[in-house]
Amino acid sequence: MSKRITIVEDEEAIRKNYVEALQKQGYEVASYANREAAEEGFMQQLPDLVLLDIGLNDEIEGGFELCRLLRQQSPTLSIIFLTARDSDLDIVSGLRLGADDYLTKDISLINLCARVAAFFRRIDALQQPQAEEQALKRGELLLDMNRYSVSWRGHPLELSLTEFWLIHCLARHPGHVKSREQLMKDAHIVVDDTTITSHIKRVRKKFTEIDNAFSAIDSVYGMGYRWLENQS
Amino acid sequence: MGIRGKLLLASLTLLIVPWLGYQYIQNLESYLRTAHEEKLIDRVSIMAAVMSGQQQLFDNHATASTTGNTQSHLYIRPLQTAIQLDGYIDDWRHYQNREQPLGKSSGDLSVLQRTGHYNEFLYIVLRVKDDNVIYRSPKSLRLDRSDHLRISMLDSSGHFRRYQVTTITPGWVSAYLMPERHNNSDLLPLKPEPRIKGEWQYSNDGYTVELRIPFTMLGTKFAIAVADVDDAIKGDVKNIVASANTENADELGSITVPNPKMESLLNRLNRTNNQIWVTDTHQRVIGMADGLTEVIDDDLNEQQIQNSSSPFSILMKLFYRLTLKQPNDDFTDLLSSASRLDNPAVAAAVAGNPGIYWRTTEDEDINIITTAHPVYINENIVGTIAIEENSNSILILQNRVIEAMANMSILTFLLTVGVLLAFATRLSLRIHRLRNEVDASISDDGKVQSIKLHTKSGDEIGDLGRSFASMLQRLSQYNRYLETISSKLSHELRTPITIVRSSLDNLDQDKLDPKSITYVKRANEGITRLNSILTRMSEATHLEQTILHEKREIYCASKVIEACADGYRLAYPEQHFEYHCSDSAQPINIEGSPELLAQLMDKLVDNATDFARKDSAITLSIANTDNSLSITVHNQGPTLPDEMRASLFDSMVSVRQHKTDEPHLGLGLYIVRLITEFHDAKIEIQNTSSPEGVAFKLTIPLATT
Repeated sequence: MSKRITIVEDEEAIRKNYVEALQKQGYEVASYANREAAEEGFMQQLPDLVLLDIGLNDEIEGGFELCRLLRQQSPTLSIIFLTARDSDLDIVSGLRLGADDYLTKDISLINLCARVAAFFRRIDALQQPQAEEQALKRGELLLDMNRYSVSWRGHPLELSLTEFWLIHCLARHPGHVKSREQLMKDAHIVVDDTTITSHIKRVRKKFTEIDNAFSAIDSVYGMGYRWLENQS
Repeated sequence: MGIRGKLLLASLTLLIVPWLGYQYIQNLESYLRTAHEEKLIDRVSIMAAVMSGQQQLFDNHATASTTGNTQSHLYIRPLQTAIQLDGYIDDWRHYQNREQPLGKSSGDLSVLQRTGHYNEFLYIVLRVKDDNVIYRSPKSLRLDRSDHLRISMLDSSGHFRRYQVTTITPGWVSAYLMPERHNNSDLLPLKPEPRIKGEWQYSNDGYTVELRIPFTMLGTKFAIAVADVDDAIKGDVKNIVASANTENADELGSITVPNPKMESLLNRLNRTNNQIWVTDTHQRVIGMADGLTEVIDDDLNEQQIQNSSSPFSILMKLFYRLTLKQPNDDFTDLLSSASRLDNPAVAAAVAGNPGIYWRTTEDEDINIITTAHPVYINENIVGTIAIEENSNSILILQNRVIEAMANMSILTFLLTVGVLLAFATRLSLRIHRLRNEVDASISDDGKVQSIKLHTKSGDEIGDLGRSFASMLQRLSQYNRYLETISSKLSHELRTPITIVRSSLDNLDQDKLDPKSITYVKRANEGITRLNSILTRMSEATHLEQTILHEKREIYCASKVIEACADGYRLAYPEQHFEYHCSDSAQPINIEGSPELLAQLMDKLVDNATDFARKDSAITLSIANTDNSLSITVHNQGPTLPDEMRASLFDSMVSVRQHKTDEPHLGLGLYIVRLITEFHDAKIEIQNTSSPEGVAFKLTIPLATT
């Protein structure tokens, strides 16, 4: 059974392009141009993944409303914000409403498809019993490459896909300094330096919620960040 | 000149008010004079009416007044005390104003006389100015061969009597009765007349004779003469001065002794400050009451001055005393001692009309008004009554008005000036405050900081304030628009770019011919570049938001900068970097965010590398003082134009001259400014001369521990 994806996007050209691109990948895609139509559609059937734009026609926060509604209906549904708005405030708001990821529209379709695929893999992996262990272990850090999940000292962390990829990029070669450009590339995003800094800060915060003494992600001023394996 | 000065200058026009008042008072004086005249005329006519009932007072003079010499007249005023006949003038010192010349001086002879009566005696003192006093020879019986006095009168029974007084030595003298006819053959005295006594004394320039004549001897006619003899041998009379011809009974002058009835009547009619005369039809004084020189108001004034407690009013009084003409009672009025009133007013009264005459005293201090009215008895004019009054009452009234007006004017002036001054001060203070507020609203680099203008008042200044406020509001909106236009633009452009990109991505690349693939590739490259531009454009906005939520921490700045320097050596392998720290051993703690500081350094170094001359080093140096830390990034290369230095940190300002592959929107240094402000720091750009280049100097306050 092919995965069902719903796109809520007010811009017709983008919507159709996305729909076509995702259909080419073999997904079953539904699309809505406004909040009311989307709500009606969601009442009938919930898809596996929702791509949401935040500004829907006149409703500048219509996407947030929809996200809240969907989270009420299903706590496990994958929701990705795909929007032109790239401010830190919007990203934080989106993720706080329970979205799984937050992408800006300048992402290429290839990257988008890769990300969607990764999402479905993660969902599938979570549903299936643990098969072969494809994990990356760096000291207390454990990265499950199938489930895109991360745990620190045995405690799982709730990370978005972007955040997972950032950790992965850093932890793959401990001690190596990764510039912000490299991090962006590995996380399949195109953002500015400040946004990367914000992402890193959020990730650090998630770690320190589990472990107060966490300091494995080291800022290398003037260059970027690196993973310090022996730090604990 | 400020508003205050100008208003004060304008308020000087108020000075026209006291000037107008002064003009008005000048007019007032003539009104007052007229009123005064009318009042006096009224009074004198009433007095004339009273006098017309007193027929007997005029009867005594009826004969004297109609016949003989009407020009010479002697009115004898009373003396307060008896005169000691000692030949000295001391007794008469209170009656100095009575002194009048006797007749007309002749040659070197001149005589001053004073007269008076006390207890039925007539006293006469004669001061004779004579360069050569000749005394009677003891051997001679003749009385006229030496300096002598001649006294002639009609006695109470109407007989003509002649007397002569001379002496052989200064001292006690008495008169001798002379024959009635003055013939050459008959010059010897008939007999001594002991009732006329006197004292003859030397004086510096002649001699003085005091005489006493009992009223019982006197009739209505009288004359006295001084004869001067300068040659003791010949004994000829050289000069004679006389009140009237003593030799002829018809030519004798008249004499009037005050009638007690008349005096008491006049004193009852009199008021304190005027003088009343009663004259006969020849203007000869036959009765008077004297009050003209009495002090009337001065005591009151003194009292007022002393009573007024405020120093201001005392000061003003003194001021007026100096500037205004004051009532002056210390004047000599010859007329008041005259025996005959040669006054136009009296002359008019004699002719039958009420007369008014203004004159000034000889010293011109006081104006005196004379009003006269004829006295009718049985429809015949028997005399006149005249009142003289000095103008002190007018002057006092006038001065009071002037003083009151001047006080009011000065008070009004001061009050108005004070109010104007206060008003102007308040205005200029408000304008100053508005100016300061407007100045404070815009920072040195032209950014609208905060609009705190006092705009509540409804007047023009409030209006100005509101207009400034709205101007600043618009300016700040415009600035905000400029600062946010990049993020808005990036947001708005993202959608069409996404359309292009997703459309390109949807192209099935396998089905395209190689040529189309090239174009798609080029289009993709363009899109990627556009994307990176958008990313940079929104960076500043993102940073602003980040800064809003950024937590401040205390960290060591030198560690961050050192790490940065290491990072830059890796990031820019072709560029040489130098790092200096004044005190690397000690941690230099500042408050802020190390990430942001690093980002700031990134921008500065990024900027420095763009402008650095090839093969030259970029120098990062840290120096700390007691309470601040300065970080300098210096590169060698072209210097900055002066006028751009302050605005360089604004959004969208760039001075790059050469084109590079990287897009430059002038947002890098704007980000530097944002982070600088976050650290409460200051940043300045300096052009350096040797080596030529540009230094960015960041001064950050040290954290207080």
